[in-house]
Amino acid sequence: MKRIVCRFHACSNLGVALVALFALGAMATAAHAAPSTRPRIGGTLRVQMSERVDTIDPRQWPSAPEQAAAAERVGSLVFDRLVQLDDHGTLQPALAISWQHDAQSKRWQFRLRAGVKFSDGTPLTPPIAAMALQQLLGASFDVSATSDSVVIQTEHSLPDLPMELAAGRYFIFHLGDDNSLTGTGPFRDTMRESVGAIDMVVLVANESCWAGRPFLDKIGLTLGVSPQQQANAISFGQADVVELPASEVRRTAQRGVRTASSDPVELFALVFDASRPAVRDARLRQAISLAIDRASIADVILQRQGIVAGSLLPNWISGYAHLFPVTSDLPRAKDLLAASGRELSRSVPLVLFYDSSDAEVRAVADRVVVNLREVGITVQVSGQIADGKAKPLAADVRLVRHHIDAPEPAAALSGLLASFGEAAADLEAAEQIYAAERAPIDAFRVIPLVHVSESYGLSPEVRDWMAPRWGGWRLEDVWLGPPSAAGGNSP
Amino acid sequence: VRLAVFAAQISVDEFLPLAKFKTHRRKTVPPKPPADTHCAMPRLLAEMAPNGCAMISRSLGQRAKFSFVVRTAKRSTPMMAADRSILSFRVFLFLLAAIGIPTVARCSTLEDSARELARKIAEVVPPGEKLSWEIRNLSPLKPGEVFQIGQTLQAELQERGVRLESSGAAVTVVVTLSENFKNLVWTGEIHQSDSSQVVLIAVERVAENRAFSNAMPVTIRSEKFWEGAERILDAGEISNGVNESWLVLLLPNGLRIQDKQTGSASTIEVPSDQNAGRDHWGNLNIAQTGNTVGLFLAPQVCTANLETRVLLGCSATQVATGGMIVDMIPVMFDVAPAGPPPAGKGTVVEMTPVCGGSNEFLATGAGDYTQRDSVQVFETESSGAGALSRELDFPGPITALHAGQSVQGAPRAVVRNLTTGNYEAYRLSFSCVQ
Repeated sequence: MKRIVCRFHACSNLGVALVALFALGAMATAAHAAPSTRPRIGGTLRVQMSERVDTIDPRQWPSAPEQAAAAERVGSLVFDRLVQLDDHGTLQPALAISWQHDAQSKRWQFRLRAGVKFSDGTPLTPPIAAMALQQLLGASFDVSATSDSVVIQTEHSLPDLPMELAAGRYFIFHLGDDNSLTGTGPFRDTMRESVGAIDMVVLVANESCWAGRPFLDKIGLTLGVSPQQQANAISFGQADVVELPASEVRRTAQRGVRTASSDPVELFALVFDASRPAVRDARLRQAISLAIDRASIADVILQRQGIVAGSLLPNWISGYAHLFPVTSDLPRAKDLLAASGRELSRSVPLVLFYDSSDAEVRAVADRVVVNLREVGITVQVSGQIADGKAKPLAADVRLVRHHIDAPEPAAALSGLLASFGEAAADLEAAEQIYAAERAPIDAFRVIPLVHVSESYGLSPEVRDWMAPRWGGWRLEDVWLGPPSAAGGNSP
Repeated sequence: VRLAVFAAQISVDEFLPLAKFKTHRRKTVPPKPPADTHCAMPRLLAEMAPNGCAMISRSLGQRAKFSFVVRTAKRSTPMMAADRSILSFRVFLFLLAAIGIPTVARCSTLEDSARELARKIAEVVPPGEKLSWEIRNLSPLKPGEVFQIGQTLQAELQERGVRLESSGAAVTVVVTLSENFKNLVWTGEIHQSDSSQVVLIAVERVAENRAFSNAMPVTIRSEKFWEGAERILDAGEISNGVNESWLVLLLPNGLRIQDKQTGSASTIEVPSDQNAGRDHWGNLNIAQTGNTVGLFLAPQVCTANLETRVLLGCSATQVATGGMIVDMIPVMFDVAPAGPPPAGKGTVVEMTPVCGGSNEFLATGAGDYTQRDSVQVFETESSGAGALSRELDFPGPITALHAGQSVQGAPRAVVRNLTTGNYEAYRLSFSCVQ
């Protein structure tokens, strides 16, 4: 359904009176042409997620990356940050309309947007914002308020402070007299109910949201749902948005379910502990790199939802992934293995650690083990789970799955290197970023395997699913339409 | 209910002979416009406000057209009759600049970047060393552009003393033209004996022209004249007809003005109720020549001075406020033709007829904001709407379409590119297929 703009053409026949009414209608309602389908207001969006989100209180942020990511996803529906990232990963104003810093980047001043209210009606003021940030940033930061701004001071230079405040738990919240937390975001948290391992959360539209009321009336979040249950729910019309593992995307689409995928935002990689004797020799690590059949991981294990990776950053972020060609060469791998003098098959096996609670990681690990056996490397897998959390043992190599949170090459690479325990140097010029990425790959300390997209299954009613290309969602822009008009899979 | 109608800023005197010719059957009542406003009056004036008027505009096809516009009650400056010859000359200059500059700019950008890459390569290659090279294109650049880049690269390398060989050189260079989501990324891999080095540059994407032509009577051409991450509701280029021109972007909460000569930009905040929802809309009046721009940003119309970059004033358009618009430049709203959209089409917007047609309108696709979109020209016929052109596709949904009726200026489309995530402003033009 399209926007209706005022009907003007028949003015000569219907007379000026009609024209006058049209003109008034044009002014009062929708005298404009926004060509794509006009959003509808109303409805409840049913969303399912794998992770449980015990709390979205920014002060009690989960430490596990997956849980933190889930909490951030839900939290962003309720809270806003001072600044936010646009589709290009560029900082844009949110609750702060401008910001400036001193020459050393030690003192930052964020000027707050006027007229913003929390969902309980409390006006956003600099003292409230300062108090929230002080609790989140900790004692090493001095957060104060001026008449219209929040000032953050620290002893260290923080040139990237706004970028840091645009992600993670740095939400601005208001603590009510009854200790209830409210935000300025598009929705407000109204109800939470737990049924066994599954949590139900209902979010209601924040009518007074400074950025505009969302189109949806409510979001019903079901948390802790297994991937298989989610796939079934979307197939049988019991959910509007579900998370889809890469290996399930094709199968789900074949069942007629709409799917939407981000650009490749996850990297599967092998990360070596080069201090371990078993993998200290770079030739051995190179042999492992040459032995792995990445194409079968991408095409078979991940059902063509992965892209073979020779680089840490996917090409859509860096533009230079072609400089990291991928080769699989078993004879050469065997030669290198022989040259390294290690006889892993007969001596101590290579210890590979992975998170065995992640079915896709487990499947990729199995394939890696098969590939390595083909060149004579015996692998002992270590995917132990303790207390529900994967804990690395003394592993020679880890199979990791890292989500790239930002589309900016420097920020994305910085996050990747940090998670791999690699030092990140200055990442400003393109050559610096390239060199920083090149170093661990050339040294075979990190072996990229595949880049994978983040995917969702969508019901036919879901409209304007315009998620950031690096994953996540923007449910405030989503609306529900009639099922017949939807169709096809989103990019 | 009092009808508020904008008066045309452009003097109707200029168009009067033609207007009289096309509207001679219309019985008009002597107008009572503000003293300094020139406008023609429609019939049935009794239905209108005492000082309401209609505006006459003229299309490229030399057709005059009556269209109702909301009127300004008065002006801050007296309206002067325009000198037709000067205006025509200005229009010619503006069109010349508008058509020519993007092409020249694109060429110079690519060639400059090719020189920059050549400079970086030359810094790595030992002086006097023989070099062989190849170029690969992994980007959307066209073969002609790739050829031009290669030529420039080669010339610049030779200029810097690098000896180029077709084969057998000690140094080989592989130049790859790639892209990421933001820029074009060009790399040069320099291989020398068993070592290699890489140089990179990021090249800003530039505007492109696209057109679709076939046997249909109308050909639509689009010219991208702006691209950026920020959501815009409308965009246009305005010249004062002398030596200054501005790129003006209408944002949900203000107006961005960029001086095209100096590149300096600033934003004027415009209070609006746009944030009451997420479905923002508004449009610019970019047809006039001068140093002011009119804009409609619900629920009000405003005027801004492009030179001083000051908001001159705003007035509400709501009936409750009396409907009187003070000191405003007129802003024409987009209007839709009567009847439902053609099958499979979404929004329809009336346009100034082209190619001798009448009752023409633009239609977009019926998808939502996640789908690519297109525009197509239709004509209302007795049997329904008939297509006059093929669809001109865009790389994403059209988030705003301004058909360019009368005072709005040239038709424009705002598109959200699904590949880059950028918003893009296109100027639409039409030509008649012989």
